[in-house]
Amino acid sequence: MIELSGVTKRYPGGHEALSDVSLTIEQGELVFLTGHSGAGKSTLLKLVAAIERPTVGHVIVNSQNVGRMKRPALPFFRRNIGLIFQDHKLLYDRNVFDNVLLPLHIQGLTGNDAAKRVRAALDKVGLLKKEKARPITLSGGEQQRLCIARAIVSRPALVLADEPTANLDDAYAKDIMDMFRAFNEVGVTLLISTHDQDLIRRYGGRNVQLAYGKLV
Amino acid sequence: MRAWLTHHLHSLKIAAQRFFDAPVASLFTILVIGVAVAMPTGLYLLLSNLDRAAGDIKPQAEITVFLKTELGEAQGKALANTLASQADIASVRFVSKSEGIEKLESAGLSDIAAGLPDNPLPHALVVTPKDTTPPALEALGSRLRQAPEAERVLMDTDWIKRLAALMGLGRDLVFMLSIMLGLALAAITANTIRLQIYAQRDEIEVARLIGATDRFIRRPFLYFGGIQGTRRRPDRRRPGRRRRPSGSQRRACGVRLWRPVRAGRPVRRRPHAAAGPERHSRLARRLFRRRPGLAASGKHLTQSSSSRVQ
Repeated sequence: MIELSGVTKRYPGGHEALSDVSLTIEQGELVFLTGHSGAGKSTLLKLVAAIERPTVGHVIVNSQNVGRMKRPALPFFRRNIGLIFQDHKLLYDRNVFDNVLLPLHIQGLTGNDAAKRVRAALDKVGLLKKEKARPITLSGGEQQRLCIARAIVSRPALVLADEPTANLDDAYAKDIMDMFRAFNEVGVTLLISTHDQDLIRRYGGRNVQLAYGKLV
Repeated sequence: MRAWLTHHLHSLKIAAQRFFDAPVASLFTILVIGVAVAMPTGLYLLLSNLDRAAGDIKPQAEITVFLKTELGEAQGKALANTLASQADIASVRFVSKSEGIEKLESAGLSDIAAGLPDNPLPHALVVTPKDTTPPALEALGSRLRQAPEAERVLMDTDWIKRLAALMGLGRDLVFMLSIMLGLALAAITANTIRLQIYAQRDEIEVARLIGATDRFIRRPFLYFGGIQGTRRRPDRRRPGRRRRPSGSQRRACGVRLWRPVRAGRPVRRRPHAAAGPERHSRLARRLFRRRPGLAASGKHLTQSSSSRVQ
């Protein structure tokens, strides 16, 4: 599913976020990406989602070389990936329903089919009753769940989550991790970055640890 | 195909919404566009009206031919007849010596006329040409000048020439102004849309990450430009008539008047704006409520006029 071979990412200015990382993730795996802040977790996720390109090496996702992908092909590649952000990146000018509708809309899905899928996704994250609410009125945990609903509504085979539980208390974090496990059980590949060691011990997926841009 | 159409419709809707969400900014842009379009149009209108006014005067263009003093009245009249039969001459009027002196006297120069020992004026012919365009007049004038009977030919075409030159200059000016204002218009619209893009940065970023194509993202902005272009037309066509704002306009007036744009930081919509139109409907209603006083005075007017008819 995901294959990194000899990947180095150097940002302009000379800072090397990842150096010579090789990693393979199979389909249906639940992988935790851990490490101190600045270890290169976010950079790795960005490389997989084709937000950044590797300086050296190959990133292959779904047997596509992401590093060499042409710009017009990028949107179609990203539609197969669900992205969950630490800062949610919700749109505050529309309600919960429309936020989740956006990915479907982008893919050209409209009308009843789209509405059904949006409600199914909202139901999964427990926000069905708040579909008319504005994201700004939701709590932090709810906003994170809304972000998850938006990531899974187009039924991607791969979900990338960047510190999804960083700003949440334990109860909310547990909620969200349960959700992730449920997705994993139906065959979704999950790559979750976190610095919460407790969480990994409790859920026990594969743990990939990064330190100063290198695999440990 | 249907998905594509609904998508376009959606883009249009978004664009319209953005337009009415920032009514003051939109209004100013429309104002600028309106002025930029109205100025050359107005000037052109003025010019074409002047042209028409000048066209009304042109048929009166006359050429006065003073005959040589030795020629008698009979010879003058004969010349008038031969000239009148020529193709490019509409009519010829013979003005005799005595008529000329009478005119001079009636023009208030009787003292001078009385002081003269005898009539020094020659006979004259007033020629009205058929074609009053400057080149045709010029040709006729030079032909008359070459006639052996003619002493002097006076043409009042000079001012026509000058007018034509002025008109040409005016037309060139209008043309140049139109080009410049057109460029300004494109720049203004581009700038407004650039500001829009700046304000919608969050949305563009999210859409990109979710897998929107560039075209998908661009479409609402293009529609926004289109709306700006078309919105001014109904307002300009009926300048005297004030329309009651539509529901969305009324609602829009209550929403934030301007959107703060801080350099270097992503602009996020203010939370209070997110509360939706319901929050502002009360304010809008207060703003646009019909004034009872005005309504009463209107009723009074209609009543008095109808009673007068009876």
